[in-house]
Amino acid sequence: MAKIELLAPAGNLEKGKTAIRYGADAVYIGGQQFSLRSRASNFNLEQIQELCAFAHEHGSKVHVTVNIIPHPSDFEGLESYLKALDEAGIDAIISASPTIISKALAMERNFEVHVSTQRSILNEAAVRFWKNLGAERVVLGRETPVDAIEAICAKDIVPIEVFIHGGMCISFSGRCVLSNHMTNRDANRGGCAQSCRWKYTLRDGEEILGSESVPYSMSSRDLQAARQIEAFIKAGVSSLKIEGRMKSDYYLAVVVGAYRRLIDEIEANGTASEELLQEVAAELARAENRPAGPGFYEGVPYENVQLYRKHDETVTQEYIGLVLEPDREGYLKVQVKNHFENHTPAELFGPHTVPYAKVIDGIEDLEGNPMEVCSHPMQVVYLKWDQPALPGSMIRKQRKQPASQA
Amino acid sequence: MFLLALDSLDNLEEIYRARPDGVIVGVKGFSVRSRADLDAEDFAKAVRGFEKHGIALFANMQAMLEEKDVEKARKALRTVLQAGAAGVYIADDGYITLADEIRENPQENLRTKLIMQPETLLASGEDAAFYLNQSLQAAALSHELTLQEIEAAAQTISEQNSVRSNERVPGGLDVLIAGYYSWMESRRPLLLNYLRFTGDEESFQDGKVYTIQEQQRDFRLPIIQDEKGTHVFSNQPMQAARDYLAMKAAGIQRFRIDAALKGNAWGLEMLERYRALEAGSEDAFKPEDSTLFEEESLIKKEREVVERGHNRGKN
Repeated sequence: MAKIELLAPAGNLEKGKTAIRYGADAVYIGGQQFSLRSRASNFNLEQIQELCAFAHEHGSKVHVTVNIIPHPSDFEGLESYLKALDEAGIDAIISASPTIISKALAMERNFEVHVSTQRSILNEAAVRFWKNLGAERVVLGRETPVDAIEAICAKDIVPIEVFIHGGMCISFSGRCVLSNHMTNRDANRGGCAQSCRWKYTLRDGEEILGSESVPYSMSSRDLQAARQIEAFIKAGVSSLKIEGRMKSDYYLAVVVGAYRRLIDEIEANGTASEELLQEVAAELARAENRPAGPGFYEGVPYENVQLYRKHDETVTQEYIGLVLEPDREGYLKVQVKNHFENHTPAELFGPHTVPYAKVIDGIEDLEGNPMEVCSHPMQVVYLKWDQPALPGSMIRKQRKQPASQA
Repeated sequence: MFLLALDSLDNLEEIYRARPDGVIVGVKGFSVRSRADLDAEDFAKAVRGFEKHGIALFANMQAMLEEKDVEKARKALRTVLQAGAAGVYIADDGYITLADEIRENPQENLRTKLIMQPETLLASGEDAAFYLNQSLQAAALSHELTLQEIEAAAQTISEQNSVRSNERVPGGLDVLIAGYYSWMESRRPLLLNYLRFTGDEESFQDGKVYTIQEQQRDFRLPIIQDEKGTHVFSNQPMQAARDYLAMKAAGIQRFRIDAALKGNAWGLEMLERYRALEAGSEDAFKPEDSTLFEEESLIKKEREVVERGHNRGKN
């Protein structure tokens, strides 16, 4: 059986490298044209080229989103852009516009053409439509349940990609223009204002329904599909996609690392233990910006997969330091990311390093002066450390309460 | 060509008298945002009924097609087309495959019965032309376009025709000129979810029109939940008004009026007003009646970045 691909997002070059170091088989990025997620710091062609070189050195791939829904003025430069991407060495584009897909399929190229989830493909007939046109992969809509994914994969039409983690559109992807009309920002051209997550009043005529203290919202929990990975691998899914080109290095490291561990275990042993699933779920919860759930993978989402109260969305990230190249025996050289103090209970995790706990017991500045508090992000300090830690590893505060799966 | 999407199947006599070129009716179980639905099996009788009055019957099968429903959709599509429906509005590419598969002979091309109407996804002549080049009968432009963008889309399709010398004309474009339209389409039961969460579940009725109002805005959005999910509509009906004449001049020939939520009588009033406008009436609409976007929504950040980059390069 072919190994399944773990596909991670990357908002910039460093994030792309982080995702690859932590175990992504491929990363997807946006270029500076024709891409959604306008607030992600998208890549220029030189950066794409550099990431491709880095990825290919590490046995990984680079997919580029060319996934706007274009208006008449948006096509200028498309052919030359696709050619430039090809020359940069990318492995695939992900697109939703039939024109962009057709033009890419018609050109001489070395990259694959993948049909974006923006087309909300939920059935094998639509998969076959795009296969017949030459598409080399289809990303299914997030509304596709597990049994449908299994049925589509069983037809072996074209490689199938599914989402396993991250933010969820409340609508069928691409079929929401709330942002266009409420903020003049085109959701299908990179400007989604996430108006679905705002607070509304629901009425039946003039009567207000529900609760005024808990207003109506269409905000969804994020997706967390650790428990479905085994089914996806067994079904023959080709690629497992993590959402979040705007997410942090820390998020990528945690999420990619956790799914890497889980996938490797299932591919090696055919299954994952309940203990590992719980560990992975707890690990994933440490990178959450908002509570997560199974999306459509355990049936149509009911009220427990929605977010209604303000405190439902809480930032839980606790990333305090990035391990740099070592230059002093018995110490880690660390770039400070967030406030921490000496004697803070911490955890270190890294590429191929399962998280382990350690209390910080000695901080010094670069001149060797002892410190009790690190409160300046980007400052470089030494931490006294006697356990293994590779460069690129991350240190976070240890939670007082064990994380539970949302 | 004026096509009227019906809001109900009541009082059809008035529809027969007004004689739109076509009416659009939902196929039960496969339509979306339609409150006038028929079982697929009832289409043959309905087609005959409307044909007697010179009205073509089109079907709305615009619900997203779930894998579990593919076989039922195949059967329903076959039934509706065999019944003589003039066309079927779809929003899911899967129906194009199904149309190929239900042909009774290889020469038959049932794609010519399909109209791609994905609400938000066809924002250019290029993407609309893709579906026309796939032999579909028509492709419906999204509603978030300016008049200039609609004219540009028509121009793009005209240019493609002149290159390819085939019969396709901008008439293959389908444009909504009056009526409520979709702002958000979700598979989730969002109303029931919320009312359950707040302990007010008994207030929910499937298919009933409620409204939502964002807390900082003064307009309300109609919202319906049914077996296909939750549908949020525009805050007011689309109205092309006098911009209709410019679209017509650009070569577009196919115009949709959607009576959903407003009622068939309103739809017929719109039909009458657009016919009057076409006949030269100055009173049918005022210039300010148009609700089309005046400016393109969103100037993308990445476009600004690229332009800044270009400018830097020039300096």
